[in-house]
Formats: sequence, structure tokens, C-alpha cells
Amino acid sequence: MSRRAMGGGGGRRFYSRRKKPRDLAKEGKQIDYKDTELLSQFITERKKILPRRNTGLSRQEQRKVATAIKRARFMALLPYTVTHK
Amino acid sequence: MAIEPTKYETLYLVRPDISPEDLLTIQNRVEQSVAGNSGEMIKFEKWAERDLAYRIENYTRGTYYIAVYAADSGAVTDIERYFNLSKNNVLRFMTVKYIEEQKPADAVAGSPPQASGQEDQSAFQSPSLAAGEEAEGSDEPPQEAAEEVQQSDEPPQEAAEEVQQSDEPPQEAAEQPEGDEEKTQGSDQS
Repeated sequence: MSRRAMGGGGGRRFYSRRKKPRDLAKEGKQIDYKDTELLSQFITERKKILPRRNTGLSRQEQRKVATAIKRARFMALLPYTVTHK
Repeated sequence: MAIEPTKYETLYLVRPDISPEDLLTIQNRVEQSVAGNSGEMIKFEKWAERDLAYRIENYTRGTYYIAVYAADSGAVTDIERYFNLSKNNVLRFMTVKYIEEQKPADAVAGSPPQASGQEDQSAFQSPSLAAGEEAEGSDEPPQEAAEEVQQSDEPPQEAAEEVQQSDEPPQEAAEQPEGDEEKTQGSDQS
């Protein structure tokens, strides 16, 4: 599994994002669905939940974050998508 | 009581133009339900008034109230039944188990074998330490560090678009763009 840059012809390249381990418990952060500031770090521009390979979270924390995002979405704290206004 | 009642946290969203009377009625009703199920209120407060992430019943704004209480589960059903009946005022509600604030130190102390690894990970806050951590902690060959340097030369936006538009299915490469935070950290290391 390579996370390296792919392609390279013609000067135009696309790059993958590197996984950087992150431990929220270590940072003293509790995963709470009301904490939209924290949760928005784990969604894309299009408001999709980022996969674990990008967030660098542990399996347990990734699940907690994903659940929290879904809760926040239901409470209209976070959007489901960008097109639906 | 033999068993301590569970602590619940109910967050509910009311429409922005709700009358003060209705607001009070809701609060009273919540308190009644808790009291009627051998419970006690721990906290009741207005949490926030904010713009909604999407429109609900054509409202773009709403006020959130939060109630924390320890009670039998009957209180939850009671409160939620009431909220369901007052749909014109309460737009959304959710009850979750209340999790007490915990000190970050506790979480670390429990796992000595992982402790060293975790310290390494936390080091990414400071660029100088991060360089060492990257080399050790990474499961990738060190060349990647060099490529990261190349990455940071490119404007992050363009790179992100490129990924989305590409027809090829690169296994790991087809990532959604994220914040620029990590990008900038990557360039720090170089």
C-alpha cells in the first residue's frame, strides 16, 4: 500500500494525503457530538466523514468521531452535504 | 435505591420565534418527567442559539437547550413522547447517556506499553521533534519524507482538485481534500 504521490507525467500530479497518527484522548479532547469545531476536522469540504486512513485516529476513536458526526448532523449542528441547503 | 439511576443528557432544538410561555412549559414538563421518575435534574441550560446546518421546517436558526438529569429510563420515554407531540415548537431532540468530563491524564496512565508510542505521536505539535518521530514512527520508507517536501511546493488546492477529478482509481490516492493544517505541518518538517 503506497501513500506516495502517483503519476507524474506532464508536470501534473496528484497526491495522496499522508496519515498522521492522532490520539484525541492524549490531547485531552473528549469526543462530543456538540463539539462541532473538533468534529469538523474529520469531515471533508463536501462534509463527508473522512476515512480512518486520513484521520489517523485509532479504531475506537474513529468510531466515536463518526458516531458523533452523525449525531451532530441530526441535530443540525453539522450539515449532511453542501448541496442541500 | 440499589442501582444508581443512569444519567442522561437531552439536547433539544426549539424554533427561534418560540414564545417565552411555551419555552417555560417545555422546561417544566421536562422537570416534571424527571421528578416523576425518581430522578433529579443535574443541569438545565440554554446551550446555544445558532444557525442551523440545514433548514428545518424553513427555519435557518434555532435555540438549543440542554438538560442533564439522573433518572429512570421512564423519564426519557416521557420527555421524548412530549417532544414528539410538540413538533411545532421542538424541531429536534436527542437523548444520549451523559458522559462526565474526564481528565486527560487518566486515559494515559492506564496503558504503559503504549505510552511511549503515544508520546511520540503527541510530539507532532513541535516541528523539530516531529521530524524524528516521522522517521521512527512511520511504517513507510524514509523516501516518503522527501516526497512530502515536493507536495508542499504545490498549491494545496490544486492538488486536492486533481485527486477528485482523476479517472484512475488509485487505491489510496483518491482522498477527499482536507483542511490545510496537515499540509503546513508537512512543510514545517522539510
